[in-house]
Parts: sequence; C-alpha cells; structure tokens
Amino acid sequence: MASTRKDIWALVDANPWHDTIQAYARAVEVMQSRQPEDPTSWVYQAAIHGTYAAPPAGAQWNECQHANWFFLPWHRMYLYYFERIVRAASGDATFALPYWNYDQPSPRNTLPTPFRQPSRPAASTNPLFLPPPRRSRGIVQGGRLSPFVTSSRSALSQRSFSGPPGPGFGGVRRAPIGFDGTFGAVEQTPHNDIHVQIGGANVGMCQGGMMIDPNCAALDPIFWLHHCNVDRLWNRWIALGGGRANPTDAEWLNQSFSFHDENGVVVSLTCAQVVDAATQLDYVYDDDVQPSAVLMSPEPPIQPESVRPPRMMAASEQPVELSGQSASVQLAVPVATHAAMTTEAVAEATTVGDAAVYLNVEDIEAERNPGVVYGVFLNAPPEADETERARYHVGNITVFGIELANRDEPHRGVPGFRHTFDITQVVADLARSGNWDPNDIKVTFEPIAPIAEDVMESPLSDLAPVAAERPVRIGRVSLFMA
Amino acid sequence: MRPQLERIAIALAWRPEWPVVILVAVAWLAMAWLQLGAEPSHHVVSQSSFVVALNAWALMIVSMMVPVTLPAVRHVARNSICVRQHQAMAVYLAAFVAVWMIFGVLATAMLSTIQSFGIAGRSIVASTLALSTAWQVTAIKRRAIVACRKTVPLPPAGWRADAACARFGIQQAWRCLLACWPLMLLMAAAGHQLVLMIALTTMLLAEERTFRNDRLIAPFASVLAVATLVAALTA
Repeated sequence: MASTRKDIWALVDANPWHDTIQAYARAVEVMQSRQPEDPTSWVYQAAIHGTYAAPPAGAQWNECQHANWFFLPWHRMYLYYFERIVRAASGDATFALPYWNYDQPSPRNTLPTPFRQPSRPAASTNPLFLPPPRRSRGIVQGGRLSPFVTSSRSALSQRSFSGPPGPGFGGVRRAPIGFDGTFGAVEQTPHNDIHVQIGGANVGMCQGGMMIDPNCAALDPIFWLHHCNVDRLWNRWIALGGGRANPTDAEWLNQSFSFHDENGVVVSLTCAQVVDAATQLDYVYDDDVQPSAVLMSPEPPIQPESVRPPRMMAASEQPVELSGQSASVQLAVPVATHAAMTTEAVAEATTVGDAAVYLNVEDIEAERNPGVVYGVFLNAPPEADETERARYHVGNITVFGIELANRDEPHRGVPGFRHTFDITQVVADLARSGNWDPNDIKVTFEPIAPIAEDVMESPLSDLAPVAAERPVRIGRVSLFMA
Repeated sequence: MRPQLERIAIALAWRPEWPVVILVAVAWLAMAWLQLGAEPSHHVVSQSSFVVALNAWALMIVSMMVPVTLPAVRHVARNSICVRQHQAMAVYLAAFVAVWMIFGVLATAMLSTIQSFGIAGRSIVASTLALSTAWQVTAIKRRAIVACRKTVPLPPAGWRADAACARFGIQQAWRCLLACWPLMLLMAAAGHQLVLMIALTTMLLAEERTFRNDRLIAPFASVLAVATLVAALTA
C-alpha cells in the first residue's frame, strides 16, 4: 500500500508532537550521530545536495540540479531515498515525510511549531529546531510568510514544462551554453523565495543561514518538508491538465542520477522512473487530485518552438541596483515598436488576440546572497496598499545559488541570473483599465519580508545592513511579446 | 506548401543567426578551395605576403571561431528589437573578429620574425603544439571556457545599443582568445591546413558545447602531447 505524505500543520493540529513528527526528530538525531562518511548520515545526505567539504572518494556529493529541467525529478529521487533512510532510522515502518504547504492562511504560513521549539517532549533538545542565525530571526519568532512568496498560482498557470516561450513550470532545457537560462516558475516561486526567507543572511561556509545556501540547505530539517511541498505541486500541475505534461524527450527521460538507499548502497533512477510517484515510487500526497477530478479538458502538450519567438518591445537603458530598499526602472519603447505598444494595440493583442507578454530581469549579479526576496511590480501606483499592489505583482527575484554561479568550476551555474515572468494578465488588465502608457512603463522592485507579529521587530531589520552591503545589480529589464 | 513554409519561417525566427551560419559555410568553402586549389604548402607565412597571410587568417577565424560564438550571436539578435537584429549581429561580429584580427597581426608578425632567423617550420609547429598542451591544463583556460555564458546588458536602441553589442563582442572574443590562443597560433604556424582546421574546430566545439567539458581537458591534452612528441621527432 502506498504511503501518504501529510500536511505538517494537519499533524500539528491533531497533536503538536504527532508520532510522525516525533519519528522524524528521532531519525534526524540518529542520522546526525553517524559519521559523515556514512551515506545514511545527516551530513552525507545534505552533501549530496551541496557542501563546502571535500568529498570522500566515490561520494555522490554536490549533485543538486537547479535552473534546469532536472530540478523536479532530481529532487523527487533525492526525497524518495532520504525518506527510506529516515524510515529505517526512525524505527517507524509506516513513516512518510510530511510536507509544509505554506500557501495557506495563518498559522499555516508560519514555520511549523515543532521546528521553532528548542526542546521536545521527554528530551532536552530538539533536532528540528535551529536558532538564528541558522534561520531568519523573523521566521523563528513566528513571522508569517507573505502570499507573494508562498503562492504557487503563477507557477501552476504555466502550461509548458520547459518553455520556450515563457519560463515553463519545471525549468528550462539544460544547455551547455545557455544565454536564456532562467529558473522554472515553480523553482523560483515558491521554491527559491522560501529558501531565502527561511535562511536569513548568508555569511558563508554554513556559518549563517542554512536554507539560503544550496551548499548548506539540506542540513536544515525543514528543507525536506519544503521540497516535499514542491514535489506535491508537480503532481498538482500535471493533474490540472490543459496540455500540461512532462517532457517526452529521450534526453530528459533517460537521464539517470545516483543516490544511496537505507543500506548505504548506491542506487540509480532515471527521470522516466519517477514521473508517476504513486505507481512508480509508491507514495501519494494527502491532497493529490484524482484524475477524475481534473478540471480542464485534455489538450495536446505544448510544443516548444511551434510558434514564433517572443519579440523584444522595450527595455531599460540603465542598470538598477537593489540594496534593501524599493527601486524602480523605466522601460524605453523604441520608435520601431511604439505602434504595437499603444494602449489600444496592447489591449487588443492581449484580449482579442492570444498574445503573450513576458518580462525579463536580466544579468542579475551579486557577490553573495543578501537574503532578500524582491517583489517585481509593473506600473504599481506608489500609494497602493498591499491588497491593491497584488494586481501589479508579476513575480519575485532572488539570487538563491548565486555563490555557486560565481564559482569558476564548470557547470555550477551561469554567471548572471535571468528571470522570466509571464505578465500577460497584468498587462491586459492595465490596458483594459486605461492604465497602460507606452511612454511610462515602470518596473519596481520591493523587498518582501515575512509579516511581523505585533511583538516582533520588523523581520527586515536584521537583513537591511546585509542588503546594503551586498547589493544586487540588475543589468537590464526587458519586455517581450509573442 | 504554405504550412511547410510557415514552419521554416518559425524555425528561422528561433535561429536568427542563420545568415552568420551561411557566412561560416562560405568561409569553409573558401578555405577548402584555397587549400585544394593551391600548391601544397606547409608554411603559408613563409611563402606568402603578409597581406595574403592575414587574409587566410581572417578566413580561418570566421571558419573556426565564429561557430564557437554562434550562441552569443543568437543571444544578441534575440535580445534586440526586430529592426535592429541584423545590425546588432553585425556590430557584435565585427568587434569579435576585430579582436582576433589584432591577435592575427601580432601572431603573423611574430612567426615571420622567428622564421627570418632560419628556424625550421616544423620546429615552430612542435613548439606551438607544446605550448597548446601546456595551456590546455591551465586554470586560465578553464575559467575562460566557463565565462562564455557571461552576457552584457543590451539597451533597446541607439548608439548605446551598438556600443553594448561591440562590448559584448570584445568580451566574448577576449575570453575565446584566453581559451585557445595557442591553438590558433598553431594553425598559423602549420599553414591553415584543412585537416588540422577540421580537427581543432571539432575539439573547440566539443570544449564549448558539451556538458561536463571539464572531463575533456585531460584527453585533449593527451592528444596534443602525443602530437607534440610526433612533431618533435619529425622536426
């Protein structure tokens, strides 16, 4: 019988120290007591994702897949074998990893309480707890995650897995030389954003926030619950139908990755072996949508490059620097594209026609991750309150993993990140309401912090000096239309 | 027929660098014609005028180095407004080739000077092969290959857009130069031989366009080391 991964908050509601949570804490403790060379140890398992330590001979370390179309299958395999190791270490044969669905009202958008308490029943320590600066102070104190970073709505609205055009749900096709390299929609929000918000400030070599650095992230026990949620979103995306489908390319299906099972034995899986978790890996999520409940009619999968590529219509002329404060940049519309960018033309293209509009934030550089998620807003009035601002929100940018991209080792990343957002709906709304002016297209970047409880200091206060010290530089912001 | 034409038009729109691909093909044909139609020559530099040698160098750069930079050409075109795409590609390529031409002038002059001292052509080839082997395993070469993905922000129009394309071309050419200048020096010393051009272009493309190209460093260095040995023994 398939095991069921359950919502951590549902477990907490039933019992703050539910048996499953206790089993997880017990297993973490056992794994942490093992030698780092042991493939079933906590340190080794985390190092499979990434580490600053030198790998022992033959170790499968530093294998995490990011910013490409293996992001989802690689992490599914990683979770699967980790879960088997935890099950064996906990002594609970029915154990299944819980997931943290933060895209829910308070308190479910706060760090689950077992991860905030220094001790647990009948024990003086709690291995699930990490104090600041291992996690962001605001998050440890119970700050609520903003819906801007928890929402998977934009990711789920993507209809292609990899694009182009658009970022796709799961990540772009991996290329040795990729100037269009961008994160898949679900990898950016909520995945990268949650990593950054939980992690706080990155001071390097796992001395500060854990979740903020891919080389330290899996040392934080909440990492695994966060990734279960991302894995769950993959199931939900497929279940939405409407042409949503996994890649069928042999290059994707046949790609294999190696891990260790609960006996420490090296095991491999291909992407083709993990596309259906229920039948191939024998686990389900407690809210998986049944095929009979699929809302949208089946459509053929989106074929990349079956339509003309998006054309550039406008771009910024100057770079912009983000140092913890709000910053804006104006997009210039050249004479040659002006006619297609008037209010009437845009309204017609996005409502009557089936045009798609994309916003690229390009050549993003930073020496180190400052630990700030920046929301990207298009033409947002300065006086708009948070509810109203949601109408102008097109996505978020972070520099999660920038440290790896800056390293000169081959294939660790692309120096200079790029984010692509599908902004068709926002532009259509602006044009319909008469708030679109080709001579005044403004993109604003605003830091998004966890929402503080009354008793708390602003969660951004810890990060403000770091953000000022480590600015994020954006080379260009451009607007494309297909 | 119309859907077929539409498909071709869409495919070309996704690959706006196609005119440059044609340019590369023409350069290869010209090199083949020069090699197969001309008298056998091992040392173009010693037998031709400086200008002829530079012409051959220019053809070689378009044949060998422009294919390496095609993804960057595509990037420039796709990130420019439609009416500027060809201009942007032309400015980028002009800057890219100009950097290589400056190196070509220096390399050709240096080889001419060395030959004027009576040093045998085969000895020069053996020396450049040894230099290529040593350079192959340096950190500078490795970093230069990784840096190929670094881009330059491109403003939408005007002189700023042209300047950015030129800057990107210079940046890409410079990192290409760092990655493979000894190999191109070898080509000049060996007289732009077609077989060697094909072999080295394949090697350069493999280094630039394959995953885990770090794993190619050792095998390629070994091949170059063996070639150095053979050249030294037959010099």
